[in-house]
Amino acid sequence: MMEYTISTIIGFVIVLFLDRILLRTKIIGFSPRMVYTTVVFIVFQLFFDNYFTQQGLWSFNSAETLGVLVPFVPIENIFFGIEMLWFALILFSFFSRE
Amino acid sequence: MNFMYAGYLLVALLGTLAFMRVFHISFSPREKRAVIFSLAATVIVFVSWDSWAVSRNHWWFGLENMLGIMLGNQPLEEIVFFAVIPFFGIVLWKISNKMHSLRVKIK
Repeated sequence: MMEYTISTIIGFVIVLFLDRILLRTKIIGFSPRMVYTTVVFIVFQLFFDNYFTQQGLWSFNSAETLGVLVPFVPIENIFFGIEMLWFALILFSFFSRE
Repeated sequence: MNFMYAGYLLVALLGTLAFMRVFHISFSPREKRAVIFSLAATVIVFVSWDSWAVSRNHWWFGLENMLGIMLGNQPLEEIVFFAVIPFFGIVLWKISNKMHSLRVKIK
């Protein structure tokens, strides 16, 4: 039923809600510093996620995803990683602001 | 019992500390507190998501590559993962901010 797909979409909405409305940190977007951080993070993630999947640290149920692999990992998992990154950055910004 | 996943987490942590050294990243007392709060929240939220996802069979672990210490359906390494990797993200963010403010200063 593509539950992983649906949960990453919900996660994305929650992260945006935290950033824009609840905590008003307003860091998620296309500012150069956020783009650099996210792109570098994704490069590392793509490398290690694919490697670990190949090594058998974890496996994904294709019935719960769209079936789009990058190149061995479901695209949902890439978004899972980005949401984890953004969630941590939003809270870090929130708690460290003056 | 196997140290593969634990070993990779250690490498990730050492790599992050190396990044901090190379780019001269340090945290103020307020930021240190923010790191602890944000990583604690990330662990709580994402371990919950992960536990639910495992119970719903979205993914599963190759437990033969792990230490074998479980908290519910979560291997210990997976819980540590949700602190180590976001910490790497926070360091990347600090580096990006530093580069950005350097560029603004030059301008």
